[in-house]
Amino acid sequence: MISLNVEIEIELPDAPGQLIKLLEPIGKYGGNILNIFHIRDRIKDNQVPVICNFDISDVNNLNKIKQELQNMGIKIVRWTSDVGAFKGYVILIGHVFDSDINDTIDDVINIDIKHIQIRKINAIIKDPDKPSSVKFLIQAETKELLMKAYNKLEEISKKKNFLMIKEL
Amino acid sequence: MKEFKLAIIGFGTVGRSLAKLIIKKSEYLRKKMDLKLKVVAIFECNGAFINENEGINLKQIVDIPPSDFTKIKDWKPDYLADDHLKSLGFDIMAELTKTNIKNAEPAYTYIKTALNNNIDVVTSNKGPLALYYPELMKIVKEKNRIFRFEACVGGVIPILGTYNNLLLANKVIAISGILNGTTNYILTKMTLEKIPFEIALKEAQEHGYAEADPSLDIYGIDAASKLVILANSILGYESSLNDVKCQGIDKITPEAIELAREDGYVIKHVATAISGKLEVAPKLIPEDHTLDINGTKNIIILETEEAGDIVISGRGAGGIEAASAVLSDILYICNIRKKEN
Repeated sequence: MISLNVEIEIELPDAPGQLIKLLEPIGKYGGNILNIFHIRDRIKDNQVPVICNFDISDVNNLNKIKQELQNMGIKIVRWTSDVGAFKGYVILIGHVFDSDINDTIDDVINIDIKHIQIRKINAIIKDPDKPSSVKFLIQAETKELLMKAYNKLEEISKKKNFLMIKEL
Repeated sequence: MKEFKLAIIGFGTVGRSLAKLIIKKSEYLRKKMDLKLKVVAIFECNGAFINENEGINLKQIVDIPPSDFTKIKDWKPDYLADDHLKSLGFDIMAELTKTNIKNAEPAYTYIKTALNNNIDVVTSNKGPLALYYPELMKIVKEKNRIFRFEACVGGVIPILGTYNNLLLANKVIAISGILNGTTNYILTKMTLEKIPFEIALKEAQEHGYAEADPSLDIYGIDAASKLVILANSILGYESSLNDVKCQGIDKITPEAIELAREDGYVIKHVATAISGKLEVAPKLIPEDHTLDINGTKNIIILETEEAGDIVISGRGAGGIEAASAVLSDILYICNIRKKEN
């Protein structure tokens, strides 16, 4: 499932029960909260900076979250959907190393080197003569680029006789 | 009491199970539905049981081996469906021959012949529907016949009936599901026991979940056929088997399953129909996703515009399960035709 990773920084009054104002709209619109940090050494005028990191699959809901936060009078200091925010795992099965994995990765990244990344490469090779299994995470700045990366990998997989398994 | 004459083509696992079910339910049909099913013909590849007047004595034949057919009074050797289907008098045909996914024969010809001769048809055979759906539906419309095929998709799961009878006010925009119990059993075994594909397949064969030649299942052709039938019936596509992008499960390794699990995923053989595209392929599914079901079960998700996701799950295969779906279709036809007369 493709999801967008979002990091926001807001300011909340340094008082009990304030955090729910942030959590409620994110949860309501399908956001999956990954981390929350209170930066207590930067409290100013009784306002504590809070950084929240969450994944969301329906990008259309982002504006709704933003709107609700603003309606509650919460100051949004920073709102970023970083490069590589659209992401998906892929597993390749085949003679991935014999057929030059660097080449495979380069071909995908070269679609748009600034906006597509391949990360978290992990492989299990049980027997060098048998097909290996390799997993990695593709991150792209837009959904279109992620789709292009998938299509490129499919093309390479066909050529190099890999089985490509991607997310539903 | 209204009597309906039935012809059965194919007396294998499903055909015999249907005969048993008709015997078992005859009293219920008489009392509760005020109808009688009289089986007047059962065709096999080398002859047929025929009794147009009293109907075939099903109890006498349901458990006998083919070598003993000649001992039965109603058995007519070399009396073949190809020659006699047109001349016999009956109301409903249950076409239960083995699926031929290459050219759908002889089932395609039998079904066309019956429909053109104003006979209603029920089938458990995916071949004709996966290859010639638009052609068959054209005849159904021209001849004003009823053609039902619930047993073709997901065995006993009443997906087509549910859609046709209960969901007509909903627009279905996409279909996804696990449509083959054999591949789901194999992948479940590989995941839970960390065993290679070949061993999991062998176990599936030993338990009777996979055929001696498992290619239709493991290469996704069986699931693709079901997907075509679902997409044509529910989404209004006019597709055939060649339109499905199909990838099998035979290359999946226990290591790939392990890598998936590290990040909270399982590998499932998933069929999808969305935006005119049809695909059957191994996919990474988050653990605890609706499609993360184990064993031989089938599951279908209808994504609707009005009601969100509707999920139906159940046992996907087996003679008696398929026969129950066939009999339900036959009874559906009886009810409609009874009201008309």
